[in-house]
Amino acid sequence: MHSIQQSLFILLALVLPLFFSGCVNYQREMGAENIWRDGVVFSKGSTTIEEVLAKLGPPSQIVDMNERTVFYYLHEQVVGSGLILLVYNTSEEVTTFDRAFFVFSKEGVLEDYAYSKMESDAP
Amino acid sequence: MPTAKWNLMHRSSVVLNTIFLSAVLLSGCSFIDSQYGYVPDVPPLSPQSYHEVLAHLGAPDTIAVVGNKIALVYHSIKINEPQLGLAVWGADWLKFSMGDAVATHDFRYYSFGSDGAPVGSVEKKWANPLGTGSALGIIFTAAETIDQSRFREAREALLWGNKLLQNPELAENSMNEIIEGKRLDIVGQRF
Repeated sequence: MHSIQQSLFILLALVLPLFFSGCVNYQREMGAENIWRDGVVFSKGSTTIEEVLAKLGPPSQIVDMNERTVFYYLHEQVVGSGLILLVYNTSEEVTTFDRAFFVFSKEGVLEDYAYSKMESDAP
Repeated sequence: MPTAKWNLMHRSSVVLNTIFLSAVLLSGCSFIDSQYGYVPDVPPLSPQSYHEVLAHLGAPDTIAVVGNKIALVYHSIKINEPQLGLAVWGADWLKFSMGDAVATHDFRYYSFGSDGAPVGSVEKKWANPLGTGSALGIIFTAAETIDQSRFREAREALLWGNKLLQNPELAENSMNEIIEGKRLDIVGQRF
């Protein structure tokens, strides 16, 4: 009886690695730090360019929109995961762009702003 | 008349043969999903100003300024690549994979004139096959068999805003047509 259990254990030890090979998870981030998600408050019609710069630092890009100026901040995050088995493998890589977009009037006052809508916030 | 012992042996033989054949012709499957960006799933818009677009869709992927017109572009790409892998028992470190990928796009484009009035808009979802590919792998891996480098190039372009629109001086079509959405094919779509 004891030897049968030992045999089963050995068999299990040999078979299990065939089905459970490994898994992987990784994450990397690039671009501006998304401080705008930390509860920083801006007010349309009163916040100035200087205040935005002071709170968020230099933008990733500045766009000249004729009589307006756009500050464009970008944070990129790549999250990947994978499950590697013998007969079934799956992997997923999601690249998320988190942007903050500020439109200033020619006087340098905030006219409008928006952040990226995140998939995790979708209903 | 088969005996009970014969039945048992026959069943055992079938099971063993099935296991042996499965092992020899072992096939595997992989599912590789990639996603670049996200466009919120909101109803079609008829915005009267860029403020409405920002309120509904958030910060755009791309902003383009041409003359006195501006365009806001939202674009996400999801790629689904199922693969069939073949391996031979005893050499399971070697795997041959065949893949067939499909890219699903979600594209929204809104442009406005200097007075802030809407000039043109396009809202479109479409899917296009990326073709089939194959790969020979050493040790089991879930690797892409379809070349996704062009999507990574697009991602680089999305990083820096207005690169998706062509240089007005080099564009074959009128920039007015492009920015009014009449020439959708060259507004940031190389796929």
